Amino acid sequence: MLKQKKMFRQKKMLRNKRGEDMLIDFWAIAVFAVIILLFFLLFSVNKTVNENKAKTQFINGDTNFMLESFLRAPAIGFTPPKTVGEVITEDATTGDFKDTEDLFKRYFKQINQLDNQNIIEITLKIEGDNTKEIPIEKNKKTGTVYELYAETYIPGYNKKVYIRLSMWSLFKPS
Amino acid sequence: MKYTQKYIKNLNKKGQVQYFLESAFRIGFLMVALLAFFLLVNFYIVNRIDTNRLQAEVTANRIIYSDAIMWQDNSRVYPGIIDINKFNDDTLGRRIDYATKSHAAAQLKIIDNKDGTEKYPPAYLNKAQYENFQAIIGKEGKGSATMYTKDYPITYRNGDESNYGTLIMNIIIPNS
Repeated sequence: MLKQKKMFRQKKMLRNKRGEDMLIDFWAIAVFAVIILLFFLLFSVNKTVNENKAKTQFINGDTNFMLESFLRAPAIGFTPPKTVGEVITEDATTGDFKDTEDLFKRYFKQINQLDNQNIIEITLKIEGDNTKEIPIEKNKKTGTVYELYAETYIPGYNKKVYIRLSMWSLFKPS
Repeated sequence: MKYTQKYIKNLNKKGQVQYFLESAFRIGFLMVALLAFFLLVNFYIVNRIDTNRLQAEVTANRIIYSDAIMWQDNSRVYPGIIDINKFNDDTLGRRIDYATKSHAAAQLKIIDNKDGTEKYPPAYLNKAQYENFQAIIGKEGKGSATMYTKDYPITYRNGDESNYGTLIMNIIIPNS
């Protein structure tokens, strides 16, 4: 009886070391796999953001060029000769934006695409002594539309005139 | 000699095989870990940058902001106002003269805003290259090319007469 008890104690004390090793290996692999996955996800997210950022900067450069060239363009059909910027300044003072609207629609008549994406709408917003927003509809809206814009101030008769040219397209800025 | 034979005889060969099998699994895991480590390092090191779009943008900006086709009053350049007298292959080629001719090619068209027609023949930057690239646009691989189209509203000026138009720029960049 005493001998049996001793044997039982010995058996209880023996530990399955090989099983423990396997368990440790299993957890090591599992944690390692999770870490790899985490790093990979972080990398993927960062990569997408950087690509979008670069693309947006290029396109905003285009809208800046368009606004700059529009304001410096000669106002065709006006005597004495003046620039579009000067016409906008006069209209912002009087509050009658008929000439500005006519020039804006003539100048942006044929442009339809921005970075191979259809332009849905172009708007010109003017804020001075008087405020006006002029839209030109281009294509039908087929989803979420994003704004790419350029803005500037030009000197007015009483106070400076704020001008914002917006291109509404399907391109998603970051 | 006698000692060596005795030593070999006493070695527990069964045990050796058992440890080898246990270690094989760990060696395999170590190899996977090393492979993953090098893959991660390679992911974070950016050693391949796609500059095609950048090349196209640089070419477009060089054309619209330089004196290549834009109207000049003495030495001052007016970006956005195109001088029709300069709107030809020869002037473009002379004023935008890169040593390497294979990097980019462009076709420039002016559309009149009143009726949407082309009043003047298109001007080319690297015309021969542009025509060669036509066949490989949109194909896969390094031997292919990508075309970027850009529209800009502009004023075009012929002598004293000015009109509103749209400059359409088709820029082709080789994918290599």
